[in-house]
Amino acid sequence: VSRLEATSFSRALSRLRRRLLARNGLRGLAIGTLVYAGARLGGLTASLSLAAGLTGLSLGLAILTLHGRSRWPNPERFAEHLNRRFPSFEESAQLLLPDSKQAGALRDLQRRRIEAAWDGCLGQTRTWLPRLRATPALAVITLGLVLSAGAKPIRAWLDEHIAQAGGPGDLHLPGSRALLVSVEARIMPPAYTGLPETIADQPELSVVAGSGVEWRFTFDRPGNYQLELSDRVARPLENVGDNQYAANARIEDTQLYRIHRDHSGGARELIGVYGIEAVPDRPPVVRFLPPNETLLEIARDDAPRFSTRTRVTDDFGVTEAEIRASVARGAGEGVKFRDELLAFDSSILDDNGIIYQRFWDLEQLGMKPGDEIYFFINAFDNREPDANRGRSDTVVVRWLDESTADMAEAGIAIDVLPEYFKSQRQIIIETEQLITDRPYTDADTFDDLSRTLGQDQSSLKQRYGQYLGDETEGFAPAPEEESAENHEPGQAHDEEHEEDLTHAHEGSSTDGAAALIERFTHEHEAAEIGPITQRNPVGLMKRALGQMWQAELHLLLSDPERALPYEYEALKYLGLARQAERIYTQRLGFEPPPVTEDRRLTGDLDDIEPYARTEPEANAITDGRAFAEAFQVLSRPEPLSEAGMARLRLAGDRLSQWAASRPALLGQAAALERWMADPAGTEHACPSCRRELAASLWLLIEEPEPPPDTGRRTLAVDDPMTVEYTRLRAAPASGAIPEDEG
Amino acid sequence: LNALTWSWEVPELLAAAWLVPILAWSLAAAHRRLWSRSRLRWLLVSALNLLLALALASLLNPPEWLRPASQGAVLLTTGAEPAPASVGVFVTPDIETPPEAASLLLHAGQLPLRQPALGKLEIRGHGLEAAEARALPDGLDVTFQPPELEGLIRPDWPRTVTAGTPARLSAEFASQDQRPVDIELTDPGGRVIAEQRVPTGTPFQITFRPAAPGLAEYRLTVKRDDGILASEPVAIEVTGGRTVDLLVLQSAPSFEARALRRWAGDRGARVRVRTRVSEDRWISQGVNLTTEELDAEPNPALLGRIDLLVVDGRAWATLSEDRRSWISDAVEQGLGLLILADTALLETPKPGRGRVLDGFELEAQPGTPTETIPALSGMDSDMALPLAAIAIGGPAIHPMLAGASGELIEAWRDHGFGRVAVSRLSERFRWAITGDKPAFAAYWNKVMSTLARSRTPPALLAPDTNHLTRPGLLTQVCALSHGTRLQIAVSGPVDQKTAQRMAPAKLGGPRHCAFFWPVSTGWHAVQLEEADGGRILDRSWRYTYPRDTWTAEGHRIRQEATLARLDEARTSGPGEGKHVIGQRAVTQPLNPLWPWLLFLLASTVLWIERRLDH
Repeated sequence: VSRLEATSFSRALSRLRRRLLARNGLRGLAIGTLVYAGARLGGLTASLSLAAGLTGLSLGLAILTLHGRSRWPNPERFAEHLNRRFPSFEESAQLLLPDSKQAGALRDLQRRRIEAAWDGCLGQTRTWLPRLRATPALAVITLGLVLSAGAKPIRAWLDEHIAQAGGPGDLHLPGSRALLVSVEARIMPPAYTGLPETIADQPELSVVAGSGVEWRFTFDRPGNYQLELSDRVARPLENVGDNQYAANARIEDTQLYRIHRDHSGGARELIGVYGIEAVPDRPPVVRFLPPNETLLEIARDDAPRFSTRTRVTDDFGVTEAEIRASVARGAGEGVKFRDELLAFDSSILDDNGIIYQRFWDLEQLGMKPGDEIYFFINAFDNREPDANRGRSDTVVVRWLDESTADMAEAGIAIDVLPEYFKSQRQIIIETEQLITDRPYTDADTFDDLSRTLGQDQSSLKQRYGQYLGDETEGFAPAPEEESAENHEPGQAHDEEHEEDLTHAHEGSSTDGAAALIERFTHEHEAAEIGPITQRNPVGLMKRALGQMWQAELHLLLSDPERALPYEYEALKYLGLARQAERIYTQRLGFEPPPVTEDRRLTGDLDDIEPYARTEPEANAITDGRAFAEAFQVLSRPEPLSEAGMARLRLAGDRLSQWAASRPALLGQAAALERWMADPAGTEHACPSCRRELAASLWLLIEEPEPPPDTGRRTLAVDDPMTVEYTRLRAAPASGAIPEDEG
Repeated sequence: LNALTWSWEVPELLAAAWLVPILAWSLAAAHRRLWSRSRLRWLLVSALNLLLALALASLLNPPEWLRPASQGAVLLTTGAEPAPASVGVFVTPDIETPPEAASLLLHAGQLPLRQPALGKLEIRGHGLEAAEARALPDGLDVTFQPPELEGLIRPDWPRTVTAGTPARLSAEFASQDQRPVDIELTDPGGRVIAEQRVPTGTPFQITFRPAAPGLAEYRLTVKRDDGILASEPVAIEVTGGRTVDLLVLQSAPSFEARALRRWAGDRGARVRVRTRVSEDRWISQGVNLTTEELDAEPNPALLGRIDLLVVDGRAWATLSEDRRSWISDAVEQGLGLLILADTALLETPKPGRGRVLDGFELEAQPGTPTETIPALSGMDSDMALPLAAIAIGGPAIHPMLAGASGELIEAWRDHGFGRVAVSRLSERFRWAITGDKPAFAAYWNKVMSTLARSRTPPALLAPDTNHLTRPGLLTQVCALSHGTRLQIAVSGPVDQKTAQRMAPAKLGGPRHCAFFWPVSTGWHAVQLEEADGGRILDRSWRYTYPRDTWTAEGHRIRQEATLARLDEARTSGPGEGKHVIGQRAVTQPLNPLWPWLLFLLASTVLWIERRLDH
């Protein structure tokens, strides 16, 4: 081989190598760019994506260089390549290899022939030099760069389209579920409260009713997010950039709120369910300071003057207090009333509220012996736009006069149970709620609520005690005198739950029972009421008071569990007293005229036609039943059916309604809703959640009551043995079993 | 030699059969050779040949000696104190840290295999399960001194309860410390619903009413000085009621019927109230019924469908003879009938009261209390209700409701397949309107479950009240059904759904049973199905208790099972001592050396005899 051809061969080989290097480099770069773009679209960070792109580039280069048509050429492979491309080399291009040193005449001859063709062939670069094909590679590189630059919006678009493929109603989108990264809630209490703005970093909020709340939610990805309050109206969240979304609302009631992410196809993804407790602005509490008796009698010869001190407390401030008074003058049907609006003489601010004082001079009010004045106090707080009103107990002041001894017996309606006054059943209900809510209530709140209930129990006890001669409270007169002179059975009361028969009669039992004593004392010879004396209402009432003492004690010690049995006992005795009273009333008051069978059956009934009336199915599901059915569903460790989900939804709705008045249930309502949104996922993440939810629902179920039921006997008419027996019995006398032996 | 036994099976017989012709040939040869020369010598040679054959037979099939078993062993069961390491110590799998030299026994039945000459066994710990105790061989000299129990034992409660009805849970706390303990029952919501202070070692009882249908897990806790001594789960399947079809016939509008209609109707019952306004005119009111259903006359067809008929005495007395006859026929076919007795009924001569009342003796009883407090199970209502001055008597009557002082208020008796009851009580509605609805509901639930038509089969039967299902232990499920091809399908939290065919009771009747082995703990759904079509006939739940719950009860069961096995064996065995059930004998094969020596001796003598002959 001549030196010239060897150099030319090497040069050609180098040229081929450069071309392949450029081509493979471009292709590798395209691969690397595509990998980088894919990584960015997949959600990896820029540095990780770059690492992935470089890895792709390296791998691409390695594969292209080591395998396939573009692999790196050595001289032998180059000679082979030339043989393929140029037939004029007659498959002998290897003779041009620089290290081809074999000799021989035939080989030399052939070499010379190839050398002759060499220059001509080398000039045909299109034939032996592969084309660079830069355009497709550059296009792919450009596409990769574009995809990388638009990775964020493209990802959001892809997410939406994947969600759309899930179909409407599909709340669970594994892998594409948006996450609430953080929450910032700016709470702006109503201005009148004077409370400062606060910022909460938790989605569960506790605000004063009427507060404005401005949320700023940060999600892990952009999307069409909605806020849904208890009115179930979806409010779009405003995108404020960087995956942050804002919303605001005014919160009046305790409620749940939900955050959804809506997908373009109508699918809705539940991001979270959270609770907002709206702490209500309570009305002012008005209490008379000792002596706090509600009945004051002033003897004819005593000075008709006294003073009252009243403490008014409120959570945010008292603006006004006034005295509403009615002066009664006269007797019997000639009694006349005069209403007056009076003001206090002075007020003092102390640690627990405002103490209002008034000095009363009955003569200045134009009263004379025998007149009475009834007054109560209205206090208003600073709530806006409508102030809350608190009302005191009614105080009765009598300026006694011998000539009016019988006036009270004519019956003057006295409001003996003011608004704040809770019935025994209400105290039981609230005690049970308190016990139920204990796991979800902090210790201080629990103690406060228990003590408040204790005070309510104390008030109720004092009220009943006053009319039964409880000497520990004020200067209440002896029960017989008090009840006989002032209270008639059946006086009206403005208790909170008039619809509850039991409840509504508790107040009346006080007066009625006291009146009964008086009547028993004087009319024990009456035959109609003889049996009633076996159940002395006053005795029962006094037993009720004894139980109330114990209940109060335990409530004040923050031990409602121990108070509850005493509360029930008190209610039982109150009920028994009421029952005794009812028997009495019935026997004297309701004696229906006798309707004999003969008279009824001999009448002219031509115009009377039989009729049938069916009532619709009793479908009204009570809250307790809804909770019971939900408990049944949750207690069974089996997949949730459609019917089961419907029961849970109903219970969830009821629980949300309950949470409005019992914020301690807010967490349970939210937990139930979260569980319903993704039962399988929640169960996987929290295996005990289902049982805990069932347990919390169990506590809300009403007092157990046996249902209607059929008989449970093993012998049945459709038993084959029974059928056979019956057949034999019914068979003619020729049958196998004689009639009288069967 | 009495202790020597030689049993032959066919293979050994075949193997030894060749000895017979050889022996016969030897004897014949000896006879030919020696009979004429010396009969004594012939006898000697014959005897030697016989001994030789016996020796060979013994080598082929060695005889066995019956010998008293003399080896001893110690079996450590759950609760056993650690035993010193020795060769004869066996442990059951529930021993967590067995001694090093101890051998693990998967089942007590393996003992005689692992130690064939076992004669004495000392069982330490709480003993064996019943199935394992039965596997102990007879004649074993067993010593078992069970340790003291510490915990809740003898639990007993219904595994299935209707919501709102009373359930009674009884148990006993066993402890060496004899001071009283506080018992608490906590409901599924974690609320303490019953508390008692009871002496240790004394049975106690708690009555409670499950609030709602579902699977309820209560917890029974024993405390002393605020320390928890034991706490065990009490699982109950709480069921709802079943739809009832009611008919009320009354002679005039009443609060009684109204309260019943409202209460039962609100709870899904189909209620018809027919109020008589004239001899042939009625007003019908109903709930949960269509107009057509309500219009239906109380004819035999309707009476055949309803479950319970409530009639006041006056309405009953004025019913036509035909109608009373229809009702009587319907009661014979399963209808329940409650007659509210009053003076109108009493004034009707007995022959005119109808067939269904033939078994009742109803008499005026002046001077009796006019009201009483009905004693309702599980209720603490103390409301007194009016009573009619009527004495209820008659043969084969059963009390249904009694007063607080024991006076009979209501009684029932069978009439065909149905039941008839007479009640003296009135104004039950007082319970409903005075806020004591649970008492009202409890009363009517009791009346209905006692009297109303039974619609039981096919139904799964509740498990025994004292049975604790454990993982891996055989569990029986029974059902009542008139069908024959039944199966149960069981699925648990982890267990795969398995189906088992149910076998009918051997003595006949509708009872069918099957078994399953729960693998996991917790609730298992049990379905009663038709084996062919797979139609679901009934569904129920069974709770499988983890091994670490009710452990004291598990120990008690083991102790009793082991002691019962020992007592049973003692009555059949010769031993008289406590827990000693006799001398066990074991068989040992005869040492082959002896027949070999015999063979050598006999063959040597025979060889010498032949040599002398030559």
